[in-house]
Amino acid sequence: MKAKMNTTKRETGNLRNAGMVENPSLIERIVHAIIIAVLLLIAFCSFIPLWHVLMASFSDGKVLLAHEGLLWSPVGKASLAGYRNVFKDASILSGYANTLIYVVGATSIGMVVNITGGYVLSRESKLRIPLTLMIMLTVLFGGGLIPTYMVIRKLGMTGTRLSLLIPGCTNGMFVIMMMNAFRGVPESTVESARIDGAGHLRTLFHIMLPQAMSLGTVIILNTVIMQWNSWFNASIYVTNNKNLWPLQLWIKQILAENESFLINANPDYSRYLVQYALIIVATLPILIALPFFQEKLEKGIIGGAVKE
Amino acid sequence: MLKWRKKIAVILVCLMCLTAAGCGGSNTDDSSGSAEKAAENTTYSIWIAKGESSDYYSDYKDNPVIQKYLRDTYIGKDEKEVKIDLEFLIPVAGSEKDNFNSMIATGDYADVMGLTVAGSSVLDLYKEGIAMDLTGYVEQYMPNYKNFLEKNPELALTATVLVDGEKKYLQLFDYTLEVDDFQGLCYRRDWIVKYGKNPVTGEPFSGECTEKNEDGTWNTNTWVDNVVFPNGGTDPVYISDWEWMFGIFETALADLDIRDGYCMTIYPSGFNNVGVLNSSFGGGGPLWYKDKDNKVAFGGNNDEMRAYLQCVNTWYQNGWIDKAFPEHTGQLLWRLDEGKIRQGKVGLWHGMSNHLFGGLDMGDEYTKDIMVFACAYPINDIYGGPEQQYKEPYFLYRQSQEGPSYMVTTKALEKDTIALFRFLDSLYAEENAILNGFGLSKEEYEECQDPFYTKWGLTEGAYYDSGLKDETGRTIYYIDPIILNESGALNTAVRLNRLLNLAGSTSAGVVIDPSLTDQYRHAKNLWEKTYENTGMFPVSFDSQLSSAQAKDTSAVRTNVEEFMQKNLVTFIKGPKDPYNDSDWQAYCNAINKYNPDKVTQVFQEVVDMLK
Repeated sequence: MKAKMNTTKRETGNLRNAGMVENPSLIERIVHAIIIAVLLLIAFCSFIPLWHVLMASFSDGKVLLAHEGLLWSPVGKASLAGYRNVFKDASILSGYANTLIYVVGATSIGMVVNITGGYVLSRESKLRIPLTLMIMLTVLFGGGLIPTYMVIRKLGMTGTRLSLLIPGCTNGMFVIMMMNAFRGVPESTVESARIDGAGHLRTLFHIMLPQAMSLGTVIILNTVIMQWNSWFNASIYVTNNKNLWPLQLWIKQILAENESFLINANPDYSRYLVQYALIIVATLPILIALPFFQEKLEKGIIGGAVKE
Repeated sequence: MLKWRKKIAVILVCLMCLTAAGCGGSNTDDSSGSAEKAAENTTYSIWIAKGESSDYYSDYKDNPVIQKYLRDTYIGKDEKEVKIDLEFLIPVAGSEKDNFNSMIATGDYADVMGLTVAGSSVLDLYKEGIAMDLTGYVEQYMPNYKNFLEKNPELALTATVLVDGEKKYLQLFDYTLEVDDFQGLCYRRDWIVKYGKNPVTGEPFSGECTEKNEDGTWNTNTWVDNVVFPNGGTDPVYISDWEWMFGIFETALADLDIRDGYCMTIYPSGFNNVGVLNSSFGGGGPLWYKDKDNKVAFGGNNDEMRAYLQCVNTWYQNGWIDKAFPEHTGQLLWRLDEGKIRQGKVGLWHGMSNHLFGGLDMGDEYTKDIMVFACAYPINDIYGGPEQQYKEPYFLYRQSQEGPSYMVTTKALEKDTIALFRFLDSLYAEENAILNGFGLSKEEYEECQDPFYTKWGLTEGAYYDSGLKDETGRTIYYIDPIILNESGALNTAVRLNRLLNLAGSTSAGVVIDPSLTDQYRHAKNLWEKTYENTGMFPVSFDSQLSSAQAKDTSAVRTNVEEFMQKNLVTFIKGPKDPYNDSDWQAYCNAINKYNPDKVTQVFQEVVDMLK
């Protein structure tokens, strides 16, 4: 009996370490309840603004203008007028298509640069320190808007998709992060690969990258979100090429065009709904996609690079 | 798995190579322009701050009026006929300043550029070699522009800039022949009718709409009533009329049990730098203004300002002013606490033309059968002394005949500038003012069959001859109902609204909305024509300041305005009391430390120079 109890205690201890507790004490129950309540409150506070915007987007524009406070359901006669205004012409669809191109393109190019750059910086060589310092410098200091514009223009990229793909595909911080991820890979595994005759490419792709990919996933997701939300570069480099505009830039433009609708003697109040419909249109794809990557994101952030 | 990784690696490497190959790709956005000399076809680039909504067209060159001008040829250098093409450069909304500054800083600017968001004055841009001296071109090739300025000497005063003692044209202005205000003071006439009584006889008022719409609802533009104000007229004129109204609004709010409503709100800082209620107390403005003798004064610490504060303080203590008025920061003057206004809980406010008559009726408890009328700025007849009473306001927030200005840059010197200026001058011809201001006539449409007009069904043109004449013998044209009934911005898309020009009804013809009732015209007249706006400096006034004058005055103006924004609220809400001499004196002493007289002196120098 005693032995069985001891075993039970050990098992219980292991289960405690694993996060599952059988027969928790009263204090543990109270703590769990508090943690759950706080998390629910945070989730509620995060969810409510989105719900308000969603309900507003289906409301009657004139009634909504007069409404004060949070919305739990659409006010006035519910309609899709806001969404009809948004999708009235092909601008938003064109914006979606361009944003997808920039997201996929910039992320792909960025990963190539991050992986190859991170690998090079993680290997011991005479130029490692000067190269690392150069990249760190770009993280600390930037040229500013005008010098950057002049460089991009000189390279002949203004007015083309390249001006949105290349400058925004990565940054010094991501390269440094990949470098650190690669440096976290046990040297013993690299050496053993070398002994077996693996060259740089095989070592990188078969040995190091799989072990460093958790951080790589974090970088990919950050790049995706950055590219999805970006509009500023487009407003500078492709101002006059509306067929190259990304989604967020179209949203900015459409919002501005609908700002002054109240000046009309006979305004179309459904234009007031455009801002809410646009928020939903811009946010929904990310909201849908993110849960699928949540696990990888969690592993990447929490997992760390130590494998031994 | 290995094969897939290899394939992915190869694809990524190809992408990299594509990147490197694309670096030297063609630059379709290069607006540095061609260095070719004038030929039969010349393209000029024009930077404008805003285009039309993409609902109508994305390229402003597709504007029907621009298309009409481009069909003509213009005499250029060596008397050659030049066919002009225009490339419009329009920044993304919200990034106009960044875009403008980038273009100027990189030397990549357009031939013609709007100056609404310019950080420097046109004088500074001229000294930097960016803006051209237009004087010779205006004198020789712009007779229409000169003709308009000769007929409007007030506008001509600020059309030139003093450069080394000589008046030069450094910019061209967008002008309109008439103003059309969309905003002004509004009040609930239905509350006056329902809760008010004739101030002389004590009899209750009555009011109703006299005509119905086709759908059977009442046409709210046909309201008639027998309201009489204490001044004896049918519209409020004096502050005493307003206080009489506030008493009625109090009754209305109590009867309707509206606990979160109020009689009136005011601008969050307690005053607005465009005057509004402030100018009712003596006529001038809250900051710098010029009186009818062209004497510049500062209104921040004078007896007129004190009388205004005494008035608003009294209203606040009486509970007539919105208690939460300082919280409406960031809101436009004509949309302060808009939610409450649209809920029908406010008696008097600064609103818009779509609020008038039944515009706010949503059929709910407080807006059902609402009737909103317009009123002019009141004249003070209660507060302060004789100098602050019975003086008509002359510092007014109104649309102006003078619009944004544009510079022609030195980039245009690479092209045929004569043809350019002849084209620009054609935009100021009086016979084109109706075209610019309203759009194509039926004859003009039939000549070109403009596809935009065809798409929107405007085959009879943007306006048509009503067959009537006005009191001065001008032909009356009616705006096409398709434009009037469209609730977007079609009325600006059909005309030349975004580029410098002369626009509006002329001595030959007047274009109006036929659905406007006398009631509506009376409302607009109350907003636009009751007083003369002689006290406000035009937007172009700042371009008259030299760099030294601008530098001297800029910090003082900013500091004074910030000080007033922080302190005037305390005179309205408390704890300071505008009736208390020591509180007022302490405020005056503090504001005088910023030396506002310095700005007054500089402005007076400029006003004297312009005379």
